[in-house]
Amino acid sequence: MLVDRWYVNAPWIVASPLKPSRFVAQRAEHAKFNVQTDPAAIAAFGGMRERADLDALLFSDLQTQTGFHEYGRLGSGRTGYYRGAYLKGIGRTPLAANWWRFGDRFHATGHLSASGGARELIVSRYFIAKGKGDLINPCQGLLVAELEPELKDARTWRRWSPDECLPCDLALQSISVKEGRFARFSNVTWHLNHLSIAKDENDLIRFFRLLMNGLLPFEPVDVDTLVPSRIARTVKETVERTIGHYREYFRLGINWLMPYNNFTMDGRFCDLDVPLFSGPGYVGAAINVEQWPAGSTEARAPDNLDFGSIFGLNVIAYLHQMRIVLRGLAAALDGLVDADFHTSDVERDFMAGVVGALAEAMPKEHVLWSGEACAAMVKGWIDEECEIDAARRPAIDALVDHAIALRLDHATMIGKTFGVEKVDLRCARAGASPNLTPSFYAVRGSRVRKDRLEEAQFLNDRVAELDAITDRDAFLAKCADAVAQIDRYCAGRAAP
Amino acid sequence: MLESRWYEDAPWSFAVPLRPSRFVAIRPADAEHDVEVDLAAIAPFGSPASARPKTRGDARAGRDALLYSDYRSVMGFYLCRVGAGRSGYHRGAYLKGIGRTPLAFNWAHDDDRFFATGHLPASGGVREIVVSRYLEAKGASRVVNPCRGLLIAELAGELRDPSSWLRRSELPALPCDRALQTIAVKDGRFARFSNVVWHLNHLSLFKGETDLIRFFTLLADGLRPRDAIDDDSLVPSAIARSLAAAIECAVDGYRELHRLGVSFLSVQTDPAMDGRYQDIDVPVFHGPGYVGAFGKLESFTPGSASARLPHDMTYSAVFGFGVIDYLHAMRLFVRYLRSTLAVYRASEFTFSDPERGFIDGFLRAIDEALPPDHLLWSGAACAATLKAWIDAEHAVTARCRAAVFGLVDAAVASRLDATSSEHVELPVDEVPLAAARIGARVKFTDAFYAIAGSAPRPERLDEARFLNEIVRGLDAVTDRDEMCARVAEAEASILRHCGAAP
Repeated sequence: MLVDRWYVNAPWIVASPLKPSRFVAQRAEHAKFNVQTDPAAIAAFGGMRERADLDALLFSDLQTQTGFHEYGRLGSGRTGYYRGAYLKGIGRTPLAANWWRFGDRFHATGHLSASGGARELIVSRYFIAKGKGDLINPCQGLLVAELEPELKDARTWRRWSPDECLPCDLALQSISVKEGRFARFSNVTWHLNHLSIAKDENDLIRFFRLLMNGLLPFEPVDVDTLVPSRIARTVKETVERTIGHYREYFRLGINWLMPYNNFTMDGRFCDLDVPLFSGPGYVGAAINVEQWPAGSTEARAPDNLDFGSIFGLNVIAYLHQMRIVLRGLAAALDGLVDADFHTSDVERDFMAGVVGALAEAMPKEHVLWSGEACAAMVKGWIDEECEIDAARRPAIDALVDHAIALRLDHATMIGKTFGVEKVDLRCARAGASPNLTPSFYAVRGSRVRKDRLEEAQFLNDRVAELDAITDRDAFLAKCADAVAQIDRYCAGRAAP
Repeated sequence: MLESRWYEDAPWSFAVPLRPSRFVAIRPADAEHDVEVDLAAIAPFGSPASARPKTRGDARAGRDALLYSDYRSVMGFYLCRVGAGRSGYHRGAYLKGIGRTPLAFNWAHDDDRFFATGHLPASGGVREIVVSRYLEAKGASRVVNPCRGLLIAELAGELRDPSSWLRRSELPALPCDRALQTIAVKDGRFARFSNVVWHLNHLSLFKGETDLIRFFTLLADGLRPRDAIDDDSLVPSAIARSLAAAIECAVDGYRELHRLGVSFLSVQTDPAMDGRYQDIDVPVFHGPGYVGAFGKLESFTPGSASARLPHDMTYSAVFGFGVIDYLHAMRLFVRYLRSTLAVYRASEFTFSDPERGFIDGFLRAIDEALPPDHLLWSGAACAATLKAWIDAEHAVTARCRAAVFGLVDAAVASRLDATSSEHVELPVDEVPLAAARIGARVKFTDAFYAIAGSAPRPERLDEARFLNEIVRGLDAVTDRDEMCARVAEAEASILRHCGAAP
């Protein structure tokens, strides 16, 4: 279990000073989160006069994504844990090593765009209204402020796009508030690479305790009775539960652009600022606008779109990342068994036991390791959720096979072309810095039922309304209004 | 080869804004390094556009106005430190003591207060200079990355109370450390194995695999920072051979330090890739020709007739035994390099066949260049090496020789074979040498102890005595200008006095 202030002593945490800011909370109880980072508070030279007030600090987490590092992004560069919550948009932290890199400007500003905050709130409320709040780490509320003057010129922080910057993003910025009891696998990988075991610090025990607590953040874990098989079983159950969450996202017609590192260890999606309200019941995609001639009827992966952008298929990206995480975990533990540290026989046996138990819990035929099993699963989802023309069925199956071969079976990147049809849905922009078409496209042969898109239309309309607002107080009022509307409109409806 | 500004594009570099400071350079050429970290220049909310140069000339000036601090991953030794928390590359040099960088995550960690201040105590800077000039005088500069100059300032107001940066048990502070602070200037053409480990953990392989090429290029350049490496030399066997050569070069460096009677207190878990000792602010001038050590003050009672190792004195504190820690660190590195590359090789990145072949070839080449009987992997070879050094340098009694060899075996077994050894208890005699304090903190005895039967010849301690006197004299200085003058005088004096082998 991760207790309320669990993060204070986590090894991957970096503390930063904060100061009061100028944000206004949508919910009164969030007024205490009106803060921003204060880099100037750390003098060039300074000693330790008194212990810091932990409730006055932000705790940002270091992250390591094996093979997926973005130069300059060391972890939470604009986010962190504070008073039990997880805040996004509170200013640059010491982990924003990209602060001077113009090429990464969208992620280097310290701020959360107003449109990003709005999307976090809308999608969270939707999941809660559908009784599915546990599939994500929902945004509990927003704080909103007028945009920092330095960011008023959107060209300084937004990547190129043929679309104008959203009105709200030219005027406002936000902080999103979430529950702080979660960790990421990238935190665990970081810890694995930075264990303190040279001086008998018992960091191995801490490592396995944090691993279990991250996997089961709301359940007490008795470390004294912890055995390798229990750890492996929990990892397996978590992987399978998370796959189930992807199944549910597909069923509800909500898609996330990038699964990598954007989910919690226990399987909840947590970086919610770029949801796609695509609607359910079809195999479709949002397409890369830069390489997509308007009016085209054929899309090509991976040129016009990544296979992961195809609705339902980004579970493959999740499995890809988990393969790398677990392979790295096993290799590192194996290495520690052999390494020249003063680990006891009990510790060596435990590490070797975890490696063995993981192999036993998730053998080669498990969906994590078997591309074939993954393909069968995704095709099963499509069968259950979508109406596909029989003649086009082989093409869609081939698309699934191709995506899996590419991501999970080492296949070389080969283009795949398929016919698409524009979905009849008024879409909100995908996010503040969109590189996607403002429309969704169904793969030809995947029939879209208009009646199943009503909720998606409703959600896109709510988002579009918020995107147009430039006044802070009007934005806050509209957020509250949108939340109430979603509760009314979506809570009682059957699944779309 | 690492070019003058190689670090600007290294993946492990974190650019940090600087502002002019109040240091005085002993050498006019170092005046350009009178800078300190300016974290306030990174606004909470802002765009990188404000740091973007308008012209090519601006780009150079802009980059020269930044410090580049390096991220590190030291296997097994995290200790809340992620890299250069008070140091970084600046205009081709490596500066230590320029203020807290964003990597100083320990700024709020009371337990790590000594390393969380951003400053280099004056006594640390002084020792860097003294040991650098001494090794230069002996023609042995190659074994370290020498300190080429110091900048000195009056101590920052926030550090005037030493209890804010020293624990109670580490007090009292030396006079110079209560009044002054320093910046040490070294050549910037070096990288650490911990940088490579960091890069290995943070490869960018998802947008094409060019980072794999960059990884091997930086590995090859770091191992041979002064040699031009053309594409034809960037092959697995050449890189693996360079790795083995760097390890052997570092071991030779330890041999040379042992011969000269100098040890470094800080365990070298974090060496420069080309084998040079890098963090030289805590040298110990114990003198050559005997097997000795210094004691941990909290457990060793000065005047005791015997010492228990590793209780009273750690194995690392035995002169010459630092090489064991170095080999231990290198074992961890090579093991980690192999296993992590194997994970990448097995994972679902879209490597081409040549890329996979390169990784496979490199793993094979490492095994060939560093076979099981190599000093790196063989505890027996390491013990034999150390014993040979002892035989070559020391005139010891037969009884002492047996005891010392037993100590070598225990130290090697403990560090390299991961066995928990029994305490080794040996009779010791205080060495007649007035030692300077070992560093800014009171942690060790201010005397050296020779294992009984290994008494040093008094005349061989002359240089050590001379160096300790110089350090003690500088430790007592509290005025900035006087310190500048005395350091310059000490440098000249060392070069004059120590021109021949001891």
